[in-house]
Amino acid sequence: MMRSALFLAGGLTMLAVPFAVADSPNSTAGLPGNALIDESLDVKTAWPYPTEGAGTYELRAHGRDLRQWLSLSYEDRRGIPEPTEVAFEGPVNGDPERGKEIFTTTAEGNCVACHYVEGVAQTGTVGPSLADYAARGMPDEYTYQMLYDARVFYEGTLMPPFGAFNNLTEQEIHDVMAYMATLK
Amino acid sequence: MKQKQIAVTGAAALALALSGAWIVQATADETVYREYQPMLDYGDDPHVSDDHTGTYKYWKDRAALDAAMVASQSDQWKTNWKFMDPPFDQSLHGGHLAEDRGAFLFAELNDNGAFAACLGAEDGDLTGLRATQYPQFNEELGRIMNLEMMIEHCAAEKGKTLKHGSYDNSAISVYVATHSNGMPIEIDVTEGELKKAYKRGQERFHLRTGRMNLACASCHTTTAGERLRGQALTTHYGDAAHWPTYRTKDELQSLQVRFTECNRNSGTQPLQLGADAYNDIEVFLNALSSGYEVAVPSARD
Ligand code: HEC
Ligand code: HEC
Repeated sequence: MMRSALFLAGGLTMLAVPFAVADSPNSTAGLPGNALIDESLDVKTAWPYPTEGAGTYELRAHGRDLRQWLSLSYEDRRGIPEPTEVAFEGPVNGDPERGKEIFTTTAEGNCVACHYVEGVAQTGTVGPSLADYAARGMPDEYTYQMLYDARVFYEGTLMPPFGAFNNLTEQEIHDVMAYMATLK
Repeated sequence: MKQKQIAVTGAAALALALSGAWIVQATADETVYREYQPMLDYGDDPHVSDDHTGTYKYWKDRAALDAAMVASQSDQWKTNWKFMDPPFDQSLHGGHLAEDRGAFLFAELNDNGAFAACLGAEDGDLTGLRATQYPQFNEELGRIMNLEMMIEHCAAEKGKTLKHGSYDNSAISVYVATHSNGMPIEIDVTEGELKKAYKRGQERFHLRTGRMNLACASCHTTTAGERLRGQALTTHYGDAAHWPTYRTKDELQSLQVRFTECNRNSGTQPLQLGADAYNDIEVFLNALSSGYEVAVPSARD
C-alpha cells in the first residue's frame, strides 16, 4: 500500500544541523537541549504562561510528558517508527467506560478532536464520523490495525499511529475498541 | 517492502517533499525515518495573495469583511479570524491595556533614546519598524532576531529583564507594532540568510512530529475549513500581521508562544522561545504575510 519512501543521501543541506547521530525513535535519550521542560514538574513538558505585568513568564505543566517524541528542534536527531503491520490477537478485552475516557480526553486518545460521535461537545471533521462505527461491522482486525498504525492502510493519513508510536498502550487500544463496539 | 534509493542534495530536497514520506539519512551507516506533510509550492518570492485556500479575497481588506460571513457557522473560517483585528473589531480588550503598558515601559526604557536606537529606529521614529525590519537576520548578533528577541536584547543592555514571551516584552512589542499599523509587511526572502531561513521554515512547517505525528501543515493547509475539537482550521497565509495578540481566555501571547500552544495541542514537545526552528517558522509565516497590513492590538479566542 505504501508508496516507496525516498532516501536522502548526504543529509539535507537545507537543515541547519546535519543528522550526525541517529537516536532511536520514542526515546527521551534524544531530547534536544532546547526543549521547553521544567524538571520540577511531574510531566516535565512545560509551556510558557505570560503573567500579566511581568518581564518573565511562568512555566506551567502540560497535560502529558511529551519528551519521548520527535520535536521540531534541529538538535533533535530522532526518527519516528516506520509504518508497522500488526496481527490482531483477539478477542477484544477492554473496558468500554475507560475506552470512552481515552476517546474523549485531550491528553490521551483525543479521538474526538478529529471524529464525530454523539453526545460529545466540540468534536472534529478531519476524520470520518464514527457515530455508527459498530453498526458498520468492520472486522476487529481492521479496527486494531487502524488504531495501532493506520499508515499501513492509508499512506500519508492524518490518523495518528497510536500503537506504533507508544501513544496508547495495548490495553488502552482494547479499551477504545470495547467503547467503539457500543457506537451504533 | 523495497525502498527506492535516490540521492539528492540541497534545494532538490524540498521538491521531493511533494511525494509525502521521506527518509532522512545522516551518514552512510545511520538513518532516521521521518514523514512530511506534502509540500505546497510557496514560490521564491511569496505574497499573501498566493493563499492556496482561495479565501484571501474574503479577508484581504479587514475594514470590509462580510458581516454575514463572519456570523456564519459554516463560512466564518473563510475570514481567517480577521474579524478580531482592528479596524473590524473596535472593542476595548486586553490588547489595548497591553498597548498602554507597552507605551509606559517603552518611555521608561527609552529615557536617553538608546533603547529605540538599539531596536533599529532612526531618530527615535518607530514608524514601520515592525512591518519592514522584523524578523531580521542581525549581522552583529549573527542570527535571526524577531522583534521580541530584540526587545529582550535591548532591555538587557539597559539592565532590565524582559524575556521574549513575557507579558511586558509582548506589551512593548504591541506598542512598537502600533507604529506599523496599516503598513504592509515587507520581508525580503529572495536572498541571503532570510532566504535560507524561509526555506528551512517551510521544511519545519511540514515535518510531522510528536505523539500524534502531525505537522503544522497537517492542520493549516489541506484541512483548512475542517473542524478540530470544534475549532475551524484556517489558512496560514496572512497569519503573522497581528502579533502579539490578546487571547480572550486570559493571556497576551507572542507569535512564538502561540507556536508552543499549537505544538502542545498536537502532542509535540514545545521548544524554548527563540529556538532556531521557531525563528525559521516565524520568517516563513511572515513571508506568507508579505503585503498584508499590520493590525494591532488584536484579539483571538
Ligand atoms: C488528527 C486527526 C485524527 C485523530 C486524533 C484520530 N483520527 Fe481516526 N481517522 C482520522 C482520519 C483522517 C481517518 C480516515 C483515514 C484516511 O483516509 O486517512 C481516520 C480513520 C479512523 C478509523 C477508520 C474509519 C473507517 O470508516 O474506516 C477509525 C476506526 C478511527 N479513525 C478511530 C480513531 C480513534 C479510536 C482515535 C483515537 C484513539 C482516532 N481515530 C483519532 C483522523 C484522526
Ligand atoms: C492539531 C492541529 C494543529 C497543528 C498541528 C498546528 N496548529 Fe496552529 N492552530 C490550530 C488551530 C485549531 C488554531 C486556531 C484556529 C486557526 O487560526 O486556524 C491554530 C492557530 C494558529 C495560529 C494563529 C492564527 C491566528 O489567526 O491568530 C498560528 C500562527 C498557528 N496556528 C501556527 C502553527 C504552527 C507554526 C504550527 C506548527 C508548530 C501549528 N500551528 C500547528 C491547529 C493546529
